[in-house]
Order: sequence, then structure tokens, then C-alpha cells
Amino acid sequence: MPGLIEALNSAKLALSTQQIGIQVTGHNIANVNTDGYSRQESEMKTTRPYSAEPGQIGTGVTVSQISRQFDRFLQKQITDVTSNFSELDARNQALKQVESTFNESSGNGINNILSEFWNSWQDVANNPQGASERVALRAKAQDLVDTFNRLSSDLTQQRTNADRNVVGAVGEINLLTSQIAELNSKIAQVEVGDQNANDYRDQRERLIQDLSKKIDINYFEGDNHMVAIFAGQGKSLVEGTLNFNLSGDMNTLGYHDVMWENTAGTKADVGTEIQSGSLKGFLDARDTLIPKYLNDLNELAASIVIEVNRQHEAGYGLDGTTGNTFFAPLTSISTTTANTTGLTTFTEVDSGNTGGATINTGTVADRTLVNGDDYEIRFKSFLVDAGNNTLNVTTTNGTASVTLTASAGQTGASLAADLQTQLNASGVLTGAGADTMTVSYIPATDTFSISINNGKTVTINTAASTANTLLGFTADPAAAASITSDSASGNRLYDIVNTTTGTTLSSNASYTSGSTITFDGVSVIISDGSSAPENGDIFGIKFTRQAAENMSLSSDVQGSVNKIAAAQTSAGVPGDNTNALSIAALQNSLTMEGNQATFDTYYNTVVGSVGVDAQGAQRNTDLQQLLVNQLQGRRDSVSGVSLDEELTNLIKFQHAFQAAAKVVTVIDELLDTVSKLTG
Amino acid sequence: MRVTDLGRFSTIANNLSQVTEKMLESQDNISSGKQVNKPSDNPVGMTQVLSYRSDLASLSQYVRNLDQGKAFLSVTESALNDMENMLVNAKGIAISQASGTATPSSRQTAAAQVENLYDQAVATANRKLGDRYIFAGFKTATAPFSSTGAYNGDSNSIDIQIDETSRLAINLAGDAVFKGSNDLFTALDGLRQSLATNDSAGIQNAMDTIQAAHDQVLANHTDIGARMNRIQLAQDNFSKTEVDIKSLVSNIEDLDMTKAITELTSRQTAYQASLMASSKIMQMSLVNFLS
Repeated sequence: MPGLIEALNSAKLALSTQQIGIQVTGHNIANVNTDGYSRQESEMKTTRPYSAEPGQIGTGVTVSQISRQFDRFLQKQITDVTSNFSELDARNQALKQVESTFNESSGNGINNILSEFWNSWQDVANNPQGASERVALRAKAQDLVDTFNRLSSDLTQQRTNADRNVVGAVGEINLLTSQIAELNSKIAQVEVGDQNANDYRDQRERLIQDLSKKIDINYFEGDNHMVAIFAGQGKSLVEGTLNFNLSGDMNTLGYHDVMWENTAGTKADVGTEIQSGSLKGFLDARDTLIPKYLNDLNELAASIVIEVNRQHEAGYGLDGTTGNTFFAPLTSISTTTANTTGLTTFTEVDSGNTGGATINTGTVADRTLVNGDDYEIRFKSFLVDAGNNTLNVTTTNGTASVTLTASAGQTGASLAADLQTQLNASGVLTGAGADTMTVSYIPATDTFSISINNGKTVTINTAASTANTLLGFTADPAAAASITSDSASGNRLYDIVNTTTGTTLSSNASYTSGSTITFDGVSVIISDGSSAPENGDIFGIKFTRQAAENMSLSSDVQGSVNKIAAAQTSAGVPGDNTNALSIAALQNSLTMEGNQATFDTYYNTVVGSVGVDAQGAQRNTDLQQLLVNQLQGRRDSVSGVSLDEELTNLIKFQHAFQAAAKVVTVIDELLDTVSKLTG
Repeated sequence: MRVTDLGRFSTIANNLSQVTEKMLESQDNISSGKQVNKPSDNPVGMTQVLSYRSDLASLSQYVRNLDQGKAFLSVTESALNDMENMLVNAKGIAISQASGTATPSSRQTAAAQVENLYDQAVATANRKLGDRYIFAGFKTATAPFSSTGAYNGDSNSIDIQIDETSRLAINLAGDAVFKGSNDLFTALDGLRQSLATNDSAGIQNAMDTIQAAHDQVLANHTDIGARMNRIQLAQDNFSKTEVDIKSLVSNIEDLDMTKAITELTSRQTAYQASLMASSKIMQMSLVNFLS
């Protein structure tokens, strides 16, 4: 029914609608500086009209929804570039620290101290009899040692800091994911009706962006208005109202592995799955960047110690003694004979080894051959000798003879699988009763066993076989002749690689458990432990490990400067400076990188590479920052609040409100008139 | 494109921080006077600078070695000088006492003179630089010559490093200079004995042996002179090389001040301009026009 009351009603709606508009505008103005806030808009629509004569008549206005101005694709892009930026930034910060450690511009770095050290040797050569020259040399050597110690401890400290950052980031990630899960629940509750949880959504976007700073994520919103978030390669971080915690578990090196825990409480190491974000940057700094420079430093320290000591031990002190070391020998554990003075090596079993073999502590068999490089003994495939590769077996079904071939990189399990295929392909065995033979590899005893199903027996015909003794086959236990000899461990191949120079010293050597392996003056013994070494297993021999950290002067030289060996011949020749000259000449000897570089050029190259890395990291960070700024600018342009715009809207709503009020006044007057009419 | 307040302010902040950073970088460079302050400023340059610095340190050590060598050689030279003078004296005595006018008593007096010369010769052959006997080979802590003229040193040569690859011997082993085929002490002692025993033929003979000993010392003296020359040449070379290397280092490391200051000024201007523009933009708002 058209009428004044209807008109009054529509004016009332107008008043309240414009008020909501003003309220939303006020909210926008209030949040002009709120990070991550998205501008809100009250969307108005006409209320339902009613039909009358002469046609449909409108009934006023209402707010259909309060929407937020937001571009979800842009937000996704921002999340991605933020992850990349944070990773680069974390790397950049780490490299800046490394760079300041290697900063030589002030002239008190290794470069300078090394020069002074060699010069001091020449001073001793100029006056080998002089006590003051010897004392000065010892002081300079102590400076050199201190500088190496300091650089090493600085870098180690930086590694520890990076590890702390890893743990910190893990904690922050857990906090963020739990907050996001909580917001998921709030948003779902609000939006279960037809409401928009605008402010909660803003908060959630903000937290997701914060999360992307720490770790690379993928996320999508489900039908229930909750977001699901996955880290890196698909490990779930947030699912509905649940969040999955990461944890930092201490590993054997004393650093923390990033672990992800599933609902069953099983943990998995996800360190390698993380592709970007500051967590990735911290992990890289800790596990790759800093160790690289630390290794370089250790290599230099180890070479200096070994080369100087070698020459020093050949000379004679002022007191006529010989065989004294100048620097404390690397990792001095044993001092058995003159030829192996205090030289032992660090050996380690690679953490990725699948076999159970062990390695003993290496000893130095011939010190004159030791150059301070690092080595790896790398196991390769099984060896199957070309002349001894026949396996002849008899089963109840017949006899089969197969020739074994092992391809490069073959493991016990894969060799067993190959054999099984070959045996079953020989029709004799399978033709009669479709029997199948099973060949399996038993790592614990390092033997192969063959069995056949259907209660039949299998026998290895020792006379016709050659491979059985070679690889230690045992036949089915029921068989009459089972071969139990185990010489299989002798049929593994390994290479010895000098990892410092990248050269292979020995290729395809044959392994025997417990026998001594000697190369470059070093002897080690690898033995079968819980099982034999497997293809791909690596055993490291490290001269350089902690060399810079442990570097110190020998007790001989610390005790008396007269033990400094300047002379080449025995006592009574205080003027003999030959050995001092020889040691000073090491400065220009090609002692590093497989006789390619001097100590100086090696170190300078390290500083150069720190510079290149730091320069590159800074550049990449700057570029990525530009990208972040650009996208952030676009986001601001879509979602940000413009005060000018809001003020304009404010006036718009004000006028509409005033007009609606006027309508009320007019209707009031009209109603008055009408009432007077009847009165 | 919509311009929003947050966007506008963060753009201003970003721009200002970029300009400030550039300006500070200029200032840093100017105050240190260097354009390579850390390895990443110029990695290749830094590597070169480091290797030049090692070269410079080695050079100054070679110069120090040469100074030491020079000191050793000049003490040797003056000892040889003294020795030659003594031998000339001894020969003079022999000549004067060989003539017919010499009497047994004058020969006795001369014998005493020669004995004195002999003692001086032993002392000269035992001359020291600091606490090192210079004619003793490697046995620098023990006197090389006994009072009877026996040699207790060895024949080793003491080398110093004069550049990366070469060494120079700075000593003369006493037995080669004063003994060997023309033994100076035997010659002097022979003269003394001939004078004491009034043996004219012996005095004649001593004249020749002393001359031979003198020639032997002189030959070694010449050798020392040649070595001194070599040292001088090397030192001159080093000072030239040092200047060259220093200018190479300076080329890489040092800042072109004029260029740097011009750059700073232009960056300052840019900074001021940004400030001015920002202050204008920041003030603009509809609020100012609404009453």
C-alpha cells in the first residue's frame, strides 16, 4: 500500500544505511596506518519493492554486505616473493658477518700476519745466533696462531648464531601457525552465516605473509572458509583448526635439524624440503656458506702447520736438538716413533652410509708424503670377476647355469634382483612346475642365498660354479651342498679421492675387511661392522678438520726459542741459517691446491670469493626488495585507505543522511496535516 | 591507479632511505679515503691489493736483509783493509831489513814489530759484528783463529735472501782468505823468525810470501766490493719497485677525491630535493580544505 508510512519507513532505512556507510568510512579512516588492513566498503542495494498500481514501488535501501577490497592473486605473489626475499636477506646478513671476519682492509688480517711471520724467519736467518730475533719470531708466530684461532672461532660463532636463528624461526613458525589455526576457527564461526569476517581475514592474511617470511608455503582456502597451509614440498602446517608443529632436534654436530611431526607423532627431517624463507637462509648459512669458508681456513692452517713442521723438524736448534716441531702437530694423539711424530688424522663415517662398516683412526705411515689434504674413500659396486662369474645350480626341476654380470654402481640387493631374474628366465627351472627361485642378499653376513618354492630344493654345483665362492652364495638350507664361505667383502671396489684437489689417487681398488689402506703417507683400516660397506658409502680422512681452531705453537718452541731450528747441521754452528732460509722460502712455494698456489695466493683467493659472494648476495637482495616493494605498492593501491577518498565518501553519506532526515521532516509535516484533516 | 595514504608514505620513506644510503656511502668513502673498504666493494681489486701488500711486505724485508748484509760486508771490508795495511807494513819492514844496512840488532827490533803485527792480524781475523765472529763460517760463536794462527771455523757461507729466488753470501770463511795456499800467519811468522835469526835469505823469501798473502786478501777484498755493489743495485731496484707497487695499490684502493666529492654533492642535492618534494606531498590532504 503506497502511503506516507511506507515513505517514512524508507527514510528510516536510508538514515540507518547512511549511518552504516559513515561507520565503515570511520573504520577505514581509523585504520589508515594499519599494516595489512584492507579497505572496507558498505555495498548498498535497494530493498524489495512491492507491486501496486501503476507499477512497482521501491521501499528504500539497505546494506547488502560489507566487503573488503582485496586481490587474492596479488597476495599469493607477495607471499612468494616475500619468502624469496627473506631467504636472500638472511644469506646476505650471514655473508656480511663472514665478510667482516675476513676483512683485510684494516691490515691486521691473515694476509698481513702471514707476511710478518715469513719476514721474521728471514730476520732469524739474518742473525741466527740472536735471541731477540728468535723471540720476535715466536711472538709473530703466536700472532699468526691467534689470528687463525680468532677467525675460526668467529666463524664457528656465526654458525652457532645461524643455528640459534633456525631454532628461533622454528618457534616463530609454530606460533604463527597456531594463531592462523585459531583465526581459521573464528572466521569459520563468523562466516557460517552470511557475514564477512573482514578484520579476521585481514589478520589471517597478515599472519600468512609473516609465515611466508620464515618458510616457503602454499595455501588455499577451503569451502569451510579455513585455509590449509603446506610448507615447501607438501608437509602440512595448518589444516582447519589444527596446526602441525616443527621442532629443532639436536643432531650429532650439535646443531638443530628441522623436524616435522605428523599426527601420529612421527618426526621427519624436513631440512632439505625447505626451499626459501629466512629459515632456508639460516640453514644455508649454517650448513653450506660458513662451513665452506671455515674449510678454506682449516685447509690453509693445516698446510702451514704441516709444511713448516716438516722443514722445521729437519733442522737443528741452537741447542743442537733436532726433530722438534714448530707448531703443535695436527690432532696430536700419539707420538710413537720419530717418523710419525704426533700425526694422526680425523676419520669419519659419512652420515649417508647404508652399509655398516667402520673406519679406525688414521695414522701417518710416512710423514714426508703428508700434505694436509682431505681424502675420501668411496665405495662403488660389487666386483664380479670376468673369469669367475658362472653360477650353476640344480633344483628338483633341472639345472641352470647363469653368467653374472655386475654393472657399475651395483649394490648387493640389486645384484640379487638381477640374479633372480636371470635364474627364473632360464626355462629349465620354471618349465616343469612354474616354480620361482628367490635370490636375496643378507647384509648382516654379506652373503647371498638362493631358495625355491613348492618345497623343492636347490643345490649349487660347486664344481661347475665359480661365482659362489666369490660372492659367498648359500643355497636353500635343505640343500645338500650349501656354500658358506664368505669372501664377498673382497669383491667390493672403492676409489680413493683427494677431495682438496679433486684428484683420484686410486681407482677400483678391491676391498678386504680389516686390511690396511695406505695412500699419501696415511694408513687407515676399514672393517665390516654390523655389515660390509655398500655402494655409495663414503669414509672421510680429514687432516684439515678444526686445524685453524686447534692451531698452536709446539711445546718445544714455547719452552725455548733455542729449539727454533735455523740450522741445517748439528750443534756448534750458531751461524748456520740454512734451515731458516728454507722455511722462509715456503712463503713462495706452491704448497696449496695440489701444488698450484702459494699460501698467500690461496688465502687471497678465499678473501676474493667472500667478496664475490657478499657482493652477489647484496645485489640479489636489493633486486628482490624492489620486487617486494612493487607488489606491496600494488597491494596498497588495491587495499589501502585513501583519506581523500574516505573524506569524499563521508560527505557523500552526510548529505544522503541529511536528505533522508529532511524526508522524515516532510513526512512528519504531511502526517500532521493529515491528522488535522481528520481532527 | 588508486593512490593510498599508506602507499604514498611508504614510497616516500623508501625513496628517502635509498637516497640517504647512497649519500652515506659517499661520505664513508670520503672519510676513509678509500674506495675499497671491504672485499665485496671490489672482490678482484681486493685480491690484487692483498697480493701487492704481501709483495710490499716482502720487499721491505729484502731491504732489511740487504741492510744486514751490507753491515756484515762493510765490517768484513774494513777488516780486510786493516789486514792489507798490516801486510804492507810487514812487507816494508822486510824490504828495509833485507838491505845490506840492516844489522842484527835492527833485525831484532823489527822482529818484535812483526810479532806485534802478527798479534794484530790474529785479532783482525777474529773481528766480530755484534757477538758474531765474521770470518768463522757457521761457527760464529767461537773465535776462528787461535794465537798460533790455527783455524777453528768452517768453510760454510752465510746466505741472505735478497729477492724471491736469489741468495747472496755475506761472509768470507777465514781459512780461504787468510790461510789456504798463501797462509798469512805462516808468512808473518816466517818473517819474524828470519828476522830474529838474522836469516837474510829467509827475509828475502818472506817478502814474496807476504806479497802472495796480501794478493790473496786483496782478491777477496775485490770480491766483497762486487757484492756490496750488487746489494746497492738491488736496493735501488727495490725502491723503484716499491714506488711502482704502491701506485698500483693506490690505483685500486684510493678514492678519486674530486670525483667522490662531486658525487657527494650531487647526492646531497638529490636528498634535499627529495625532502622538499616529500614535504609538499605529505601536506596535501582534503582535510585541509574541509571546514
